[in-house]
Amino acid sequence: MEKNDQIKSSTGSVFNIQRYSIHDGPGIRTTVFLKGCPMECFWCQNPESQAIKPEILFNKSSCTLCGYCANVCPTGANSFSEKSVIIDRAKCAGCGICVEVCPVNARVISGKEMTVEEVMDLVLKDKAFYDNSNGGITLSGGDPIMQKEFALQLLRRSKEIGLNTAIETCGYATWPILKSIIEYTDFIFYDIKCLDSSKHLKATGKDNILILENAKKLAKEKAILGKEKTMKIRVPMIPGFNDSIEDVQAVLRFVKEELGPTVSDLEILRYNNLGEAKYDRLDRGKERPGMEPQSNEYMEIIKTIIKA
Amino acid sequence: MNIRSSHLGKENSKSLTRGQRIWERLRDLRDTAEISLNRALLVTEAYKETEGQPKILRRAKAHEKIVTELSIYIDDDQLLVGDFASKPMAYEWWPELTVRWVGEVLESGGFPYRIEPDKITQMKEIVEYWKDREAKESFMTYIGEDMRNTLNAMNENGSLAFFAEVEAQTEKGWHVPNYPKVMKIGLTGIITEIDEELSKTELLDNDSYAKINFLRALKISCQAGIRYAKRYAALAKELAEKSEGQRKKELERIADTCGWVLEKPARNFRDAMQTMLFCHLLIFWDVRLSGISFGRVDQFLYPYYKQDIENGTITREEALELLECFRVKLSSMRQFDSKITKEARSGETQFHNCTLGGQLTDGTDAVNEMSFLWIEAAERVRTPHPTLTVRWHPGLNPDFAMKVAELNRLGLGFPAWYCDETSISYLKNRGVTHEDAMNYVVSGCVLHTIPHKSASAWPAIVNLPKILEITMNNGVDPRLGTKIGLETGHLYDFKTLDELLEAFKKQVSFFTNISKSYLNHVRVFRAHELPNLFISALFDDCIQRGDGVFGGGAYYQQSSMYMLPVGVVDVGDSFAAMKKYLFEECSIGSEELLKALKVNFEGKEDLHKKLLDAPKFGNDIEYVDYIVRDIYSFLIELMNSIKAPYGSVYEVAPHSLSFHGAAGRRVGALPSGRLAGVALSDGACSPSQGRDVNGPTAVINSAGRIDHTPIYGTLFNMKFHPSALETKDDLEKFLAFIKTYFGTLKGKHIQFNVVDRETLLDAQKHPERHRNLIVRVAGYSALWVELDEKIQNEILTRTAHGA
Repeated sequence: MEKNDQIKSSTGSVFNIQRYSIHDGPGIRTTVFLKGCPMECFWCQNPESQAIKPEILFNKSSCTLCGYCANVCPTGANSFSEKSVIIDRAKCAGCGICVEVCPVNARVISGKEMTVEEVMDLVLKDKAFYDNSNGGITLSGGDPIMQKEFALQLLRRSKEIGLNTAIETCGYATWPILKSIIEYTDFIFYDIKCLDSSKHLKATGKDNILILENAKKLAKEKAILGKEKTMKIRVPMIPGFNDSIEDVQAVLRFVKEELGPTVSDLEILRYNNLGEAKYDRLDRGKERPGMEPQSNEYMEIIKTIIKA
Repeated sequence: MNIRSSHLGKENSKSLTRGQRIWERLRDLRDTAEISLNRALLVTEAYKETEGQPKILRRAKAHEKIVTELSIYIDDDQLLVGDFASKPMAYEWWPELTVRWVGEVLESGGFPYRIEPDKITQMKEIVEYWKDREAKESFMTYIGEDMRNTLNAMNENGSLAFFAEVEAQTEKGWHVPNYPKVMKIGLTGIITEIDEELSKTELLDNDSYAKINFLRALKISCQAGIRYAKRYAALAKELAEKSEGQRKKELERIADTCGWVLEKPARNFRDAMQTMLFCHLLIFWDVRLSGISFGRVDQFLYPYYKQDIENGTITREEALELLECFRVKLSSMRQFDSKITKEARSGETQFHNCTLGGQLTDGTDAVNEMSFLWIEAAERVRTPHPTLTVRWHPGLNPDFAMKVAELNRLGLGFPAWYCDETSISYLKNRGVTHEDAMNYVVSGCVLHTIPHKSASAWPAIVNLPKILEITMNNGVDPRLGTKIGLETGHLYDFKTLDELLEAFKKQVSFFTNISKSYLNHVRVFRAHELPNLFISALFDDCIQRGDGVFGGGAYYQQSSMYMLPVGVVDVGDSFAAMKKYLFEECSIGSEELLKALKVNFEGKEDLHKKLLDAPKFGNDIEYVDYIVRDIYSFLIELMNSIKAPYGSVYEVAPHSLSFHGAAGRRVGALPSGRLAGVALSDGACSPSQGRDVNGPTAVINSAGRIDHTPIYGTLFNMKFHPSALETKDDLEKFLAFIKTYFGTLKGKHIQFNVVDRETLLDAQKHPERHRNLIVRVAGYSALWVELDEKIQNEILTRTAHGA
């Protein structure tokens, strides 16, 4: 009981929980998206996931200027005029009251404070689906290691119940933290973006030294921990940054030579611009990446390189 | 895979299979096909010739005249013969059912079909003959003015608390005739049975008089059937003499087959397929048919296939070609319908269902090579008919299950999935033997029935949200302002949800009793005045009892009559919202709510939003899910206490067809937040359109809270985005998803639309680009371009589950 009490007291910031996730690990899964990320990639498709604090996504185009949000805001962050509603992001406490009252659902809050129990209650609603498909829970983000204590407790709890566990991480953490997390993780999706460290630093705000070191350690650890654990390398293809044939080949070489045979799986993710509108909704329109996905033909070329 | 890839490209027509070739050609005739008066003229002539004779014999002689005199043809390339019209893709007409609407539409000039000027004169003559003799009109005369007035206040002509126009004028037949029996003993064998029964029956009283006339009529019908087949033998022979090469051989083989069947038992797979099609057509030319299904085609055809493969007289590919030909045949039947029926059955559906898989009597898996062949044929020839249903059980052959999932992925809307456990339990609970229950099939869209033993099904279609409106307004329909219900109080009179529920139940009971009384009248009237003849020869124990399948002839009467409630989920969502805001939080007043509903929430956007935010079914929320569950429990208890004709009771089968569109048009804004005029939720447990926001597992968990076992046909539609079904791994998960619904949560039926929204929107704008696009409507699939716009919009608003 003591242990459970301790778990109950722990909370985290969750910005989405997606059920019937079928592309984030084995079987049918529920993916829990934790808010907060150590990097600031310029192409980020979930800009609302970067900061840990809750944020309002506001879709101005569906706003009818009814003014309810301005009336209820306890910090006076919403200023209302006949032409528009403006959120003072510095004043906004992320309480979400304006979301509740908006009659046209123009507002969404990203980031909800949830206890481990609350998350697990939701996750366990689909236990029958996991049981019938060998599925379970996937922690994603942001990067779940930003909320390491919360993530750890979710994973530990899931293992106790017998769920398959997975995380999606960029690996930017000290080794002891990462090691403690993978102890309770069956499936690791590990992002490697670029082998050129200075390029990496420029594009993401962090260099890649720690990431590559951790990848090697994980591969070694995985060899020790045995067959149950799976590690899959994911490479998001960012136009003009890391999607040249040379860049892809460099990652391939690294995986083959440095990570060895235990990490067999590599997945190339084509760029998508589905997150573009979110920048506007966060009042960060100037940061919009504004790029187009790679062509089908180009992706075919990349695929043949990987197969070879 | 995207639905677009299922469009057959014309450019590669050289590589098309036989079935694809024929379907390409026929499909292009769909829009230009004309009405054929062949049958209408023959039936009218026959009735003029038989004035004064017993009704049933007139019916038989009409059938005989039609099948022996109608003009026939053999379509190029086809391996099976016999057609649903005397010209390719044409419409035939059953004036004995209803003609008045035809007369009216002819007057107004707004006919949806192409009609040559000389035909208009003929049609007017036909209308003139039948206008007081047709089934619908003579029924309306029969029930008298009082009942007519009551009905008109409540049905399509009034408030639409229930539907009552459709049933009187449509042919009936959601059941499965014994085609395998004709394969085994031929129509000669059946005529022998009739003769034996005739020789045992002495004319002594009314019953024996009716029985003897019935048997004599059946015999005329069966004998005509034999002659019908032989006409094709003669025609094929004639054509063969004029042909050469491959086609000559094919025609000679057709002549040989048709010269043998239906008279004698099938010798091989080819004979069996032709027997099945001929029998189906003989029923069609008699009473037309809706929902007549084929049953376990993989089970009863397999022995013929196996024998032919073993003795080397057919190849797998040849068998597949015959199945393709069969699919094309079934998709070329047209519906010359009244507007109402056309709307209700959006997409020219025929509900011809084939059941695959399931278990044998001993509980082992029934899948065989023939099961795979039916799936492959549907994959090759992407016609909407016949539809397929797969019986799921935990031991279902996994390779077969994967094959079925692959077919689901193509976006044809079928096969539907059906759960053995809950279906067999239902049937056993209603007195069906173990052996019969294990052999159940799905007929029509989603009704589990015993082949050639269960009587046809008749639905009392009840518009529950309309009854909710009437309940909230003390018996008055707020749309028309007429008082048609009971005075059970106004919304503000109810202090608790239970009081409101009690009033609602009283109203439902009140309307249901009128609806079922009407339906009982229709059934018994039709059994006497317009009996189903040929099909009764293919049902246990019609010959022995001397009565047809409409009457008391069928062995099982269980589940023949049922309530088809429309909008249960909308009512459940509405009760949940009222429970929360009116009775628990007291944050909305009942007068305030009624006023907002009346103006369709105009100027009440905040209230509307609040109502929309209330718990909605389909999101895995017990609060509302249990309300929906309890409504079903109430409906089942109510209906099971109501006596039905020929010794059974009413059941509940919420399979909506496309009545949820028509019903919704007459229902105002609801406390659930649904706006006035919008389509209601479809089927048994589909969430209100677009209101499910927690993904497909949440929908399944909500649906699983309903007790499916006692419900007859719990239709459940889900829409998947193609992205969720791309790889084999995705399909494995999809199968695990189905397994959870059936194996763990004890659901009964589920079917999928696999199509992306962009494709649907594009198809709405450019129907010409999507002539082959098939979507799942209710219990059936239809070509998108043929759907009523309201139904198209409704499908667009159903939530698509991607990944």
